[in-house]
Amino acid sequence: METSKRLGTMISIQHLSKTFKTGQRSLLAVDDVSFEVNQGEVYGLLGPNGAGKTTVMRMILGLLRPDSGFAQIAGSRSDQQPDEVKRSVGFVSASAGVYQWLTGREMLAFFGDIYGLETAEIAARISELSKILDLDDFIDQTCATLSTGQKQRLSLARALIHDPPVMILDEPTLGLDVVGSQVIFNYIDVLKQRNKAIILCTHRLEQAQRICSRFGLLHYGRKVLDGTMEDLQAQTGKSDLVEMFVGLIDAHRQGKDSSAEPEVPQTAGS
Amino acid sequence: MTEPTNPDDPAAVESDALGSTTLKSDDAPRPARRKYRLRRLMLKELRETLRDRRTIVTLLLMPLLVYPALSLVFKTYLLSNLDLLGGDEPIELIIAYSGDTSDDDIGIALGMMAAGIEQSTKLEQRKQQSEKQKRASNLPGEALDSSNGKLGEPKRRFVKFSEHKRYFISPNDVTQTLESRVESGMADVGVFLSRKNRQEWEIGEIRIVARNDQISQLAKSYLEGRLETLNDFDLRRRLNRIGQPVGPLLPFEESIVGPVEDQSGSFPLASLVPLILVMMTITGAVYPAIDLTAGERERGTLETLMAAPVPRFGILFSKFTAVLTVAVLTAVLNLIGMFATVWAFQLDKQFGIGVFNISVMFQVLLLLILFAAFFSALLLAVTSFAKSFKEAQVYLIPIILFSLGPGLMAMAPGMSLNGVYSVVPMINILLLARDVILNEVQLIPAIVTVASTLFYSYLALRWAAWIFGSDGILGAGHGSFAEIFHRPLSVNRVVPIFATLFCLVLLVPINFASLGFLGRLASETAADLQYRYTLMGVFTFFAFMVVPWIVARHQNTDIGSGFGLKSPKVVFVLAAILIGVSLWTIVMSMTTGWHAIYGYLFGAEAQAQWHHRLVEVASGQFERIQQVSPWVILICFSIIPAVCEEWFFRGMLLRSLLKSNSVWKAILISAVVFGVFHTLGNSAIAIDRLIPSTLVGIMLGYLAYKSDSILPGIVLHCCNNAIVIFLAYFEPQLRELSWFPGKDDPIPVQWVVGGCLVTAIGIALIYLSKRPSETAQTLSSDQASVAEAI
Repeated sequence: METSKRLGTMISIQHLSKTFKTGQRSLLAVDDVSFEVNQGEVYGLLGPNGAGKTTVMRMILGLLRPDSGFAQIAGSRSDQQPDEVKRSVGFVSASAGVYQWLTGREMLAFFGDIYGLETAEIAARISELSKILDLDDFIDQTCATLSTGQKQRLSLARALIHDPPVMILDEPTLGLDVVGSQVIFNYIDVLKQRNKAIILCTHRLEQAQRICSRFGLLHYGRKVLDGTMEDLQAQTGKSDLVEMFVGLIDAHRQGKDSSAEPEVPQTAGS
Repeated sequence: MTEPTNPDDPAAVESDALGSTTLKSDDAPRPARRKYRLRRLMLKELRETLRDRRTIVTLLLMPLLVYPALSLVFKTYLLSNLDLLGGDEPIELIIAYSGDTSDDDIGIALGMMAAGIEQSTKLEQRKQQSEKQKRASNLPGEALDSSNGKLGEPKRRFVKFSEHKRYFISPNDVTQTLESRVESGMADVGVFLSRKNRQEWEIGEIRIVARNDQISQLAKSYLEGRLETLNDFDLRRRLNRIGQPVGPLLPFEESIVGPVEDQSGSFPLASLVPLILVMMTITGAVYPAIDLTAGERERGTLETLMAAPVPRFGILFSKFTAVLTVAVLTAVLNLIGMFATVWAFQLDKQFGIGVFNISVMFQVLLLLILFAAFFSALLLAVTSFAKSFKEAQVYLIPIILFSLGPGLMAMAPGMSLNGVYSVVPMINILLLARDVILNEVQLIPAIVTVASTLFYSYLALRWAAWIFGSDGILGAGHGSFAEIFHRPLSVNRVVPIFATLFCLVLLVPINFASLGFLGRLASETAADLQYRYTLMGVFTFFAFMVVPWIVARHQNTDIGSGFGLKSPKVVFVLAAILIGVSLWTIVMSMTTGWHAIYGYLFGAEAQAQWHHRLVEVASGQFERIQQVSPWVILICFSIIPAVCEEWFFRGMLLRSLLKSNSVWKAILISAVVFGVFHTLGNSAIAIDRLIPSTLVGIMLGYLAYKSDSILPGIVLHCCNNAIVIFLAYFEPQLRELSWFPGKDDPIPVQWVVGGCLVTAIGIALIYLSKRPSETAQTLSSDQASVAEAI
């Protein structure tokens, strides 16, 4: 395979495909998706629900095995050196998973530990992150008592505990109010300044438009648009992401109504 | 519980301290300074589980509530059944007698004699007895004179008064038999006494008649105690007369008449205790198992944990230890509660069965831990399928209901821990725990029980690991139950290992049920035996041939390649015949060797007993098969087992194992499974067959691997079985030949040497011949599409 390692390329996704088989049905969830993300870049992986964004992220992390293609993070392939990849990535999922019965500090310490940090390092990291993300008020409460916004901030701190060069954020603002999501987006901006390579997956399109360096629009597992905002505007003739989205979905619906053959196959096999 | 913050966990400071504390945001991936810490993972799971209120409730509250309630049930049971403990009215127990003895004599025999013996030592007792006699003379309905009773209403002679119990002797009534008097309830227990000598208490015959109810049994046990005293007295008297030989002590027989009372009459406390403990252990494990798998998946924490650089098996194993710890804690608390209840309410004494002390408690605990390990792994495997808490609960309900079946089965009074039951999960542990409490543990079934449960735990953990390692763990639709039951789209060359294991698991109960069914056909007539052997053949065919075939078809597997049905090279068939006709000498001399080992392990006496039992069982079998036509024997003992067992063990099992294991590992696993299945048969000689059968399994596995076909193996298996079974069948005829060894004799050395030689030639032939090339095996696309079309 081609190994175009431009200086600063942290994430390289090459021709990822994944089909889910459930009994007789099989669903092509991701169809030949490729993109690259450099240091200091936020790549907006966008698309309607069920477009395959989460599946792409899971394959990058090595949580799912791709049927073909591969993901390379900081020089390690996730199918060959999954632990190296996981060590380089901070992952925030939509569900903001926190352990109900542990305190925030215990949870951070636990993750610091399994990411291989020293004890002193963990303590220093926790106090630093606690300051930046404003966790001090609740870090010693059990997670069950936290609000959604607090949980999400804690979750972000958890992903950052080992100070990874790559961040994968799967809808980090799900369920947050405007102020809550603003805190998260501000911090993503900080991470961008610190030269992290970030994949951001979100439905808050206005913020995405502001923060992301480049975009990839997924629809039914295929990357249909790719590039900077200017590129997208040139390709679609539309000015903002919301319009592009609506256009995309409309086009698909019309294609489905007018012809028997949809432009993007959604199932394979019989 | 634990301090909320402990970043300075002493366990964490173990490794190098030179790690920089400066936190510059470098872009290079952090080097793997340390392997993940399993201990840390386990601690986290455990801490999280133990802080959960719901865990604590099941853990602490259940034993606190259940056992006091249970003791009430026990007490109520006792009261309702015996009507005597705690009640004010004493019960009256009437003893009837017959034989050449008088009221006075029997009175002396059953009451006064004992007092007489203990005269010198127990003066106080005698005083009490006379006091009681005084009180007793005021009792209504009691008559000291035996002559003024009416017909049909037994006259009673007072014998003994003890707490809540009064014993009476009903005068002899020649118009009725002892049995009818006991059965009609005129007396509670009957005793027949005939004396050899009127002066001395030399008794010719004693017979006790009782009903199968609590009252009668109570009277009987009193009577037995008295007779034992008589025995004792007799023995002392004889010993006092030095020089006279001490003959046998008074033997007595008893018979039970009247309808059999409901089984709850004799309460199996020793069986009930393990069942309650096991069910409580299950209860303790269920909640953490669901919470740590399906619950974590629902909350999204499983995904973040999997995104961390820890192996999935590490995650699973830490969850397993957490579930196991909670289950064991539950077991310990319940065990303490149970034993405290039994001890405090003296249930063991009142029921008169079982031993309840620290040593027994400890042994039962070990068994519970073993069971908890198995069940925790099983629960994790099942709950890992589930995408949510609710779904997991739905999966677990049938499992728990299903486990109640064996639990109740193990409570049945006639159950004993033998060959079949010692490998059935849950039943074996329950029976072993019961035997521990009854102090009736037998070594070999106990070892089989422990080993098989460990094996099942391993299997369950492997299964859980398989599910945990699959994509489905994140809810992507793989690794679910659906996967087992859905036909794959493409044609498989061999049956997928998971389906094979599923089939194997299916075969255990099928085998179990058919053995149980065959065991019911106890008739020994030739026609019935023929029918029984035919049925056995049909069962074998169904279990080892039809079931695997269905599973393979369902898994869309090509039957030819999945079972190895292609025609083999002639040399392998030749080798199979050579080994088939000679292997029995080695197997038989191996059995002799095993007996020597057995003697070494358990002593010569145990070995002699064992050997005796085997010879008995074997000659019993010989007699049975000799009644049946040789053709039936040939088909049912040689051809059907050979074909069907090769079909499953060397066909389906070995070939699907070969796909993902090294050759010898696959052969070994299939051989051990083959060996274990052979121990399921006859309880007495079962364990003897394990090692020889496993070795034969290795031989057959090697042959099947090298020839890439099961057909030579069928030839070998068939020859071997035919020789062994016909040696037994024609044993009377063969015995008359001068050159043939007798039934108990070891096989002559020269036979064994000859057998080894021929077998060695056979093995050499296999070894020297090449395996058909891999390219020849691959299915052509034509075959595949044909197979799919079937």
